[in-house]
Parts: sequence; structure tokens; C-alpha cells
Amino acid sequence: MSEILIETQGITKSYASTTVLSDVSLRIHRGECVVLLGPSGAGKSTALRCLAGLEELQAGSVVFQGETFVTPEGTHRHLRGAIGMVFQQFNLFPHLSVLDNVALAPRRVKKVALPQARRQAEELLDLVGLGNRRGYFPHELSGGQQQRVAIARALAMEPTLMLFDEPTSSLDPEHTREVLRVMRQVIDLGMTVAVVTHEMSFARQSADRVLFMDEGRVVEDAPAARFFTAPQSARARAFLREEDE
Amino acid sequence: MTEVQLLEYVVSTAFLTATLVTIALTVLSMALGVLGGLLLALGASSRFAVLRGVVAVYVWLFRGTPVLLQLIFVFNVLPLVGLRFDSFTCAIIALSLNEAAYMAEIIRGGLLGVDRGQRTASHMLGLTRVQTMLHVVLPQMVRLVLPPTGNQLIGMLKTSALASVVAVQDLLLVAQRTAAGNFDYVNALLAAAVHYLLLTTLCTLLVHAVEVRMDVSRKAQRRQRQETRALVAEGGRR
Ligand SMILES: Nc1ncnc2c1ncn2[C@@H]1O[C@H](COP(=O)(O)OP(=O)(O)OP(=O)(O)O)[C@@H](O)[C@H]1O
Ligand SMILES: [Mg+2]
Repeated sequence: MSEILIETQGITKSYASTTVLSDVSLRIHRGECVVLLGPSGAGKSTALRCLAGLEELQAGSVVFQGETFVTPEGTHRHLRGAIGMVFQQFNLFPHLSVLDNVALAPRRVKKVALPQARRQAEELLDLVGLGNRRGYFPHELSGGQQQRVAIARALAMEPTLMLFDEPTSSLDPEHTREVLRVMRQVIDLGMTVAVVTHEMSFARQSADRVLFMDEGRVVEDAPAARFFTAPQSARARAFLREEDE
Repeated sequence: MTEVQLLEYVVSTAFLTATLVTIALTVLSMALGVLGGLLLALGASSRFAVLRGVVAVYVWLFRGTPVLLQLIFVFNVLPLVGLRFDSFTCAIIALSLNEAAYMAEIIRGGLLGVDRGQRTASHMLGLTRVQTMLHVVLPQMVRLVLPPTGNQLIGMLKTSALASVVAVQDLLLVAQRTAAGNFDYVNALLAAAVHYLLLTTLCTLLVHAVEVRMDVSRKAQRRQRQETRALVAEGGRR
């Protein structure tokens, strides 16, 4: 297997009295597509947010590109967009046009000159199939289109890792397909991705590896093919049975 | 009441000058009040408890006492500690200190009204806190607070009349003096009322115009019209 891009080492995350993640260690290798599966409340979103450095940890650490990134003391590194994140609710900037949504971070963070930032944004919008929507505002777009803009916006910072938290769960089937197609493209470009999703067909087709979580633990960590054909744990088998219904 | 006398007052140099004073009072106090309110609101959402406490006390103090009292206090007490200002400056100080307390609450609400996801997304894109504030949160906050700020502006136009009690030569004071001097209360006060009405109407229109300019859906409509025109023009050429 290739180099480890990011890993969590025994992380524990709790709110007041409830423990959401207990002693979770997981790794994602460069170029890999990892899908996180599990029932609602298993801690999938929290695990992803920990990878992104968005959560305070009670124990353990996150190591990104061989360097300590998060510990219980805090976040130790400015990512400057190195980890892109796509949210269930899109979170586009409503006051900016689609083009400026994509161009904002390269301009402000990387200090790319406006014309160049716009040109690059146009290319990314072409990539996600929205080249003809540059001047639109987010509220004029369908959910699927907004999510594709959000993907382009994250890609604009040339991240080494992309995290997707249920990117299609607020979309209807047609728009879900559009977004999954773009995600597929991103994976084919060689991007390392971690995806939380309930789209089993996507997981079957695109995942290299599945992390099955339940009650704040990684219960099963297996190559996708094996996970779907021969799940080891009873809980994973029960989960797959339910999802198939 | 004679219409001619009323009109003469309305266009008289004394009333026009007084109107300018009222406008200056309103605009300056409002501008400083908004600025102060923004700083207070940022303080209220700060990580530091002491700062949050200071803001809470400030807001409690200035919203819990009459503006008129604050104005008279500034006018009479500042000289005692060696700070001497003319009455116009005193009025500006009192009105803007008071306004800042109200604007702080409005802006705080506006900041809370900007979805948390916006900050998370900005953070993940690598924007610093300051950049996020400047390019993401503030522009959205401004749109949210514009309507209540417009109301405050109109309120300030009328509240500025209190400055007449510390002898600022504003619309109300000039009207009162004219009235007393000519024994003509009806026309003099009506003349002031006409000016106030003109100003408040103007403010309402102005606020509406700014809202329209900032409204994203209007921008979208403008773009759609342009696109349609471009298409029609293209069709015509063929
Ligand atoms: N801010 C919070 N305060 C308290 N508890 C929280 C908070 N955020 C999440 N939790 C709890 O943590 C647990 C895991 O949440 P998480 O969102 O990670 O689950 P998930 O696997 O993503 O579920 P879903 O499939 O429903 O999105 C849940 O029991 C949830 O109630
Ligand atoms: Mg979740």
C-alpha cells in the first residue's frame, strides 16, 4: 500500500457525558477512496470533522502528511485549504456569484491575481459541468448544482485530501447522480477522498476501502469488495441487510 | 395659519441652516453609532469573558437610561472633569454613545444570523478569522441588519431634536425661537414638521434604494435581463 496521507491515532471525542468517538485509529492512504458507513449516530460525521481539524479531541491525535495536526491541546497547523470539505448543506457563500465562490479562497489565501483566479475558477466550473452558470448566485441553482459548485470551490485550493459528509443526502435521485458523477471524476483525477454516505451503489463502485462504524468505534475496516461480499461482523451484516431493503 | 407664512418659514435661511444642523447631527451620530455598535458586537462575540462583560454593562447602562439624561449628563459633567466641548459636539457624543448600544444589539443579532456553516466552510478553505469576517460574515450581516438600521436612522433624525435642550441650533430649536419671537407657534412648528417629514421620507427612500442594490436576487434579475437582451440582439443579427 502507498504512503499514509492522514491518520487518527486513538482519538476520543466526547461531549459532556456522551462519548462520540472512543479510541478510534484509522488511516487513509494517498490516492485512496475510503467510504465511512454505519448507522445514524455512529460518529461518522464526527470522525470526518476530526480529520478536518474541526473538533477538539479529548485524547489521541491526528497526523496529516507525517506531521502532527491535531492533539487535545489544539490544532497545530494551518491547512490553507489542503483538506477540502464538502458539506451536506453545501454552505456556498450566498452573496457571491458562483464564479466568485470558487475564486474567493485562491484570491485571499493564495493571493492569486483576480483575472487568474477567475480563469482557474472557470476551468473548475467547466470540470463540474457548470461553465454556463458562472454569473449565477447560489439561490438560482438546484441543490445538485450548488453541491457541484461546492466541490469546485474546494478543488480551487488544490487540496491533497477531500472530505465529503453526506454530500447527496439532501438531494433527489437525479441530482444525486449528477453529484456522484462529479465525485467519481474527482476520484479518477487521483484525489484522496473520504466519503460519508448512505449511497450504497456509490460505495460499492467507488470505494477502495470501507470503514464501518458503530457506537463511536470502527467496527470493521476492510477492502470494499470484501466488505460487501463477506462482512465479518454481525453488525455490518445487519447494516447491509437493512440498506438492501 | 397662513400658507404663505408657512412657506416663507420653510424656505427661510434660518430653517434651511437648521435643517443642515439636524442632518449633520443625525449622520455623524449614526455613523459613529454604527461603528461603535460594530465594535461592541464584535466584543460581545469575543472569546474573552471580560470583554463580553464590559459590552453587556455598556448596553445595559445606555439602554436602561433616557437619552435625554445622557445628553444633559455629557453637557454638564464633562466640563467638570476638564473636557470642554461645544454643545454640537456634546450632542454628537451623547447620541452616538446611546446609538452604539442599540446598534450593538442589532449587529450582534445580524452576526448570529449568519449560518455557522459559512465560517466552517471559510475555515476549511484556509481563510483567516479576519478574512472570514471581512469577506464572508460582514457582507451577509450587512444585508440582515439593513432594515433595522434604517429604522434606527429615522429614529435618530427625530431623537436629534433633543439636542435643542443643550442649545444646538437644530430644526426644533430654531422653530421654537421663531415661534416665540413672532408669536406664531402654528406656522413655525409646522415648518419644522415639514422639514422633518421631508427628511424621514428621504431616509426611507434611501434605505430602500440601498437594500435593492444589495439584494442578491435583484442582482440575479439584472443579469437575467442582460442575458435576455444579449440573446435577442444575437437573434436580430442572424
Ligand atoms: N455538538 C454535539 N453535542 C452533543 N452531542 C453531539 C454533538 N454532535 C454530535 N453529537 C452526538 O454524537 C453522536 C455521533 O454523531 P455524528 O453526527 O458523528 O453521527 P453520524 O454517524 O454522522 O450520524 P448520521 O448518519 O445521522 O449523520 C450522536 O449520538 C450525536 O448525538
Ligand atoms: Mg452525519
